[in-house]
Amino acid sequence: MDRILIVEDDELIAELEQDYLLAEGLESDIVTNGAEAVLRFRKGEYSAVLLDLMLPGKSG
Amino acid sequence: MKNTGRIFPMFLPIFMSVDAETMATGELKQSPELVRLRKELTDLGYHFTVLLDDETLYSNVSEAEWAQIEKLIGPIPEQANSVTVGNENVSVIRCSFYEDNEECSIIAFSNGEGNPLGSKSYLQKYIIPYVWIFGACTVLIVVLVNACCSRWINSLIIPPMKEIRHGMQKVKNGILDGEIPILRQDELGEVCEEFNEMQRQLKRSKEEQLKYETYRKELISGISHDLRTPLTTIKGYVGGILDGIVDTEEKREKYLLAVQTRTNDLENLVNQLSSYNKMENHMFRYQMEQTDLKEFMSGYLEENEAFIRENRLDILLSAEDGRRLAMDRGAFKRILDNLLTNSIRYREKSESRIEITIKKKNDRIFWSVADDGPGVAENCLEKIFESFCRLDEARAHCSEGSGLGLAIVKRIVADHQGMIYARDRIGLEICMEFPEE
Repeated sequence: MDRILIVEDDELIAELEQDYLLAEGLESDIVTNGAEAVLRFRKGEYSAVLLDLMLPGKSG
Repeated sequence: MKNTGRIFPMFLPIFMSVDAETMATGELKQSPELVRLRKELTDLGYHFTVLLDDETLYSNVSEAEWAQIEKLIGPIPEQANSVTVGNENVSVIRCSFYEDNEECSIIAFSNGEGNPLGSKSYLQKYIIPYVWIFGACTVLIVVLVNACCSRWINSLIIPPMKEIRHGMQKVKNGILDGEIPILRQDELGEVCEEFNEMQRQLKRSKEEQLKYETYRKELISGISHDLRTPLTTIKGYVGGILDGIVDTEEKREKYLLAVQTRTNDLENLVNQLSSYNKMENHMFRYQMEQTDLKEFMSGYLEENEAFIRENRLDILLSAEDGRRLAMDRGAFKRILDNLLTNSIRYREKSESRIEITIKKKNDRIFWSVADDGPGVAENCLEKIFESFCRLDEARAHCSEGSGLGLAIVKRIVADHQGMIYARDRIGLEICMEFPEE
């Protein structure tokens, strides 16, 4: 199954996005900062990234 | 006696142009010289007689006037060729010459009752022209002097005035750099100096205005950002419930709690904004009372024991006795609330160690609150006290603060005649200093 990476520093918003994706049958993981998002994405596990633009440290 | 100086020369043409034969033949009466002489003497108030060897050739002197002459000044000396006799009221002029042993004489008489036209005529003939000449000369001199003075004054005034005008044009066009040169050390130089000072003030004022305008834009941007963020979350969670995302009771409760959390954040933001606005506009009324800081701190920690425990704060209080301050206790509690909330908000671990110090330092009361969080970069230490300060663009969540906490702290400290600054130590240390009572 395709997995989506959610990059969002607001936990409440990230969880809401995860619920919406799940309702569509999409699995997702949440990371809260840009640096971690880059590491996770490079592993090639994700089909798409849902990215917040304003993030602590490395921006979206 | 009057006019005698002017009368004598008038007689001369008669004797120069008319010979004795002419006089004797009676043509004298119609000669142009006599007509002119009669007119001029009449205008001057004189009557006269022309004699040739005691024979009267012409006379307009009356008998009464002859009597008056003799009564007042006696017989006219006959031997004199030219003589002028008179007193305050009467003037008699005799002018004689000899031609072929015949004596020719003209005797002019004026008793002061002459034709009023005479005086006028004299005035017109001799005084007025001189007055006109004198007036014209005066005007000419005045004009010349005025021209010279104007040129001299212009050379003094025009250069600095040109500089002032140039400076004013620059100011009018919004150019406030560069000052006008001080060309003179006098009143005009002072005006130039005042102009430069005015320009400097204007520049400062414009810079202040720009700074304020930037601050205002950032404030509005910060307020709208911090209002929009919780609203987005609330909208999302309510939408999730309506869209049927929520399929369990547990999830429903979680969604409602999220809405409640963000609503509380919004309320907190609005309250902070209201307080900040009141303080900034000096509408906030402080209830000042003398307070021992150590006792105040102990009381605060006791009152907020539950909050401290829940947020896993390890607070170390190091306070000297007897440090008293006139303060609004409510406002100072808000200072502590905001500082502790800040430490919790930005910490990277689940617990914090907070050191609170109260001591005397350089005749002032020093009060600091230091945490062991990530701290703030050196170049941002001053900026953190600005409202809606954005040290990180990601400070996008209401749960991470209203952006007004430290701005309110700074305002309260300033209203207590104190100063505030931040230091980067293990974590962030907020230092406040107040004058000791």
